[in-house]
Amino acid sequence: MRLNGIHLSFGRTPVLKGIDLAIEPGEFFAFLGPSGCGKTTLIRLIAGFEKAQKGRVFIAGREISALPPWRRNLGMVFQNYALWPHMTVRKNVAFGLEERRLPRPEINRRVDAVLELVGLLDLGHRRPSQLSGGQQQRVALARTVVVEPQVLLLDEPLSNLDAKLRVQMRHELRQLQRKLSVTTIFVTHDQEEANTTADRIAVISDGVIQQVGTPMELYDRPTNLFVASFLGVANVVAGSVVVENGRAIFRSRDGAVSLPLESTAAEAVNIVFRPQNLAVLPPGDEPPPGATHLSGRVQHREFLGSVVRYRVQVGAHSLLVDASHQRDEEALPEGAAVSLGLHREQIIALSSEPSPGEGR
Amino acid sequence: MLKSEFTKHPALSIVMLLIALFLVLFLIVPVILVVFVAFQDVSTGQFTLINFKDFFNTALFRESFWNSLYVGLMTVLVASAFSMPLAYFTSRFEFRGAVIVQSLGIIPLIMPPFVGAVAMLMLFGRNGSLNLILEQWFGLNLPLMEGLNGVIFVESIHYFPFIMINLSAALNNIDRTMEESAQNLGCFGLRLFRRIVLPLAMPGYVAGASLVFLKIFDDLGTPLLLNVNNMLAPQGYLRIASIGIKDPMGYVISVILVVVALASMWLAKLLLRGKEYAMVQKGGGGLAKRRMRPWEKLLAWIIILVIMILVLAPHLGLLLLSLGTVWSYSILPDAFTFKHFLAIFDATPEYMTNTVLYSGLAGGIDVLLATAIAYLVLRTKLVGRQWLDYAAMAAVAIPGLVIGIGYLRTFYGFRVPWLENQPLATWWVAIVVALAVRRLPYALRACTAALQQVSVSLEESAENLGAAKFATVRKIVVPLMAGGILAGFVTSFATAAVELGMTLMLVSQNADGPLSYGIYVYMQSAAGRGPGAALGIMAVVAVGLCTLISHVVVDRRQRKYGLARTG
Repeated sequence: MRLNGIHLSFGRTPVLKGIDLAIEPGEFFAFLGPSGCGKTTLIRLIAGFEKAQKGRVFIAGREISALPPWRRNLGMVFQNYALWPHMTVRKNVAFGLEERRLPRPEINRRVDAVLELVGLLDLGHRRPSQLSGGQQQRVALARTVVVEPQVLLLDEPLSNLDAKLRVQMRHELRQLQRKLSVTTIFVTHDQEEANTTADRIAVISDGVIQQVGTPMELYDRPTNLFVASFLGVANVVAGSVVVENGRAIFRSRDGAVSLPLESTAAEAVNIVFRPQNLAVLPPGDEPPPGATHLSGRVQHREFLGSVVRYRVQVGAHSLLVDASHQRDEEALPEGAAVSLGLHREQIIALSSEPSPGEGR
Repeated sequence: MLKSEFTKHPALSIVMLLIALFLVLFLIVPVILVVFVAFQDVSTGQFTLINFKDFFNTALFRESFWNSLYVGLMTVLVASAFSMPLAYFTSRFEFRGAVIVQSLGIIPLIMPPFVGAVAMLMLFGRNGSLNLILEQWFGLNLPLMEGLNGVIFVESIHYFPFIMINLSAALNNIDRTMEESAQNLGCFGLRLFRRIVLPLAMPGYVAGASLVFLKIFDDLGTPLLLNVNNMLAPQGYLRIASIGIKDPMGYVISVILVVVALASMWLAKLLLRGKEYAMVQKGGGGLAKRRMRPWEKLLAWIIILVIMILVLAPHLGLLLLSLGTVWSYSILPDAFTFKHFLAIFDATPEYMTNTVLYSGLAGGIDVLLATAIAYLVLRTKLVGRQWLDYAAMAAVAIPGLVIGIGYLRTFYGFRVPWLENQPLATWWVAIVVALAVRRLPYALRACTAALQQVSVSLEESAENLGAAKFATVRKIVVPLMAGGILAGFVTSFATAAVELGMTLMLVSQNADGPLSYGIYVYMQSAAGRGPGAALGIMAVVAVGLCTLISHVVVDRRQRKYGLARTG
């Protein structure tokens, strides 16, 4: 699928501000972003329910921008499942096939097959109101998958389920997709969902694609602050790079953090590192090679089971530090002075220019 | 436990008992008595079905029964036919005329069909304005007002806005994704409407339509004023009025009316129970609207214009009738005058003063009862309080005619000592009580809604600060409910002013009659049409004002106190 230069406004409000994207066949692709970023609008545009003022949509080389929703052969699962309450599960699932005027025996065969696939074969005669949330979602999925669409569009399919079910369902979703090898676009605001299921993710904020990449690429190599803080927890320190004695040195604004930094970025720089990139050093110890020493004071601590997360005041900065927890280890008390080692090769350096789409 | 609840709130328990007594005496007993008599052999007093057999064996009664069914169904069909295009326009398109369409819904509320019935005759009858024009120009004569057609025509015009708003609401309640998911799977256009939209809108629509059917089935005034006597309700009235309260046919008819009423209400409730159909999600309910093309806009406006003319026709006709001198075999009255208005104030002011008196008293009783019942049901845990609610609301299923007959039968034996032993049933106070009982459900609904908006914590904080229950009710609950109470009062007042069914049964002399009765009496003669119409205008003005006041007051209070709107 290809999206070229999509611009969409509702009245005077711009919602999508120049979307360009290419999605490979068979990919499980996620649109990830906070509420109101435009991801649902984008998927509705692809389905044909919204009209862009500018831009084109292609599937398998064919332009579909002008086609009405009922001619696009894309399967969409809505957030509220949109199961028709006056029809049984079987009739719901058979609907798309009936619209394609397939012969009745063929319809029955395919409906049986897909209900078997999602594990609801004995519930075919029930009405949607008699099903649980997870079952309803499966019916919605079955209904879309049975017509063998070119692309599957899932609009926050897991957000109406409780936490435990969500984990199970996302796993099943992924398995189903692999089995059918259908290109799938999955909209979510939950980065854990996106990370665990998607082949590639487009991070969207404020109507603009911030970055596209695999989950690990986005986590390890964010190209702007938004992506860095949206996927995972990030410590951000603002400062600038100066040349001293022939070496490039990063110095934070308050001077508390200073370290050698190989950076081709602009002079004004944000350095970003994760809580697990900071090690708590035993008092008096030198930092290991490749690490810079920082000293600070523990402001707050949270016991998260596998780690203890400290908030440490270093100069003017409040940094999050994750120390892995083994059984019976004592945690540092609040107010204690602490020595930290920052692993330099883990640092991501980003220029201080605003992220795309920021600052209207 | 039962005992402790009652002893904990002795005052409230007594109040509950008194209300129960009132409802039993003035609602339950008369209705049960009517049912009893229908199944009673006139001579032996034993249980029998012979009255019903006689009823269905008599050609006139059979005909009346089928006619009433026919008129009810046809009216719903015709009104639906009118409503379809408008509901379609407002729900499918971005249409600025939607506001006008909505306000059309208010117009019939302020004038019941019988008031304008004679005026409609003048406009659409065989020798009415429209047919005179049509004959002159096209040699045509439309039998719009002949016999049953007249009743159907008048009732459709009156009830069509109800049905339209009902249909629009049913369409608007359909979640957009219901339609979109169907489109996504390849369905569109008429097929989409047939497979998805219509089935989803059906329950809401049929529920509303069945309630409208019920109102038409029970309507006494319109057929009477159009001289159509071969329908069920007029037959019931005529039997009792001419033969007397011993005649079993009147009771048989009452039972049939009540059974049909209950059946319609049960159907409506059954259909609306599947409220899961109305699951409006974020992103807005209602079907996606699209822009109208210019010719579609023109068509829409033309349709709206035609329908508006029809809806306003009774009001216009009534106005002409009230201001005209002689209007006979002519398109418009010969000349205009105010003498009819003067006449009603001069010769028969009692119609208006009675209305104010009866409605005022009935409204007051209703509000007291409604507030008390609402409080008891929502705020206490007394055993059996739900039954008060059910009993009061049951009055909705009882047509006015039946209550009238019931009162006549129940109270005829009793005499009023200080009024020269006049029968209790025809004392004007009986009219007030009957009005109160019949309109109680509406007041109760308004008060219950108002009380539900008042959070319990407001009372509890008052009690926490030392106020006893009664003081709390008086100082906190009632003022906050006042908007709803006022709305309840005004609704009772407005509808009581134009009630005809039971009024006709219970009024024994013209001097005791309210507005509705006066209109009926005047319209019996050609000369009386003018003053009758003038009375009609007074009724419309009164009800219109009341409706306006209740809307304005309720709105203003809600804004002032920031009370959330219910539903």
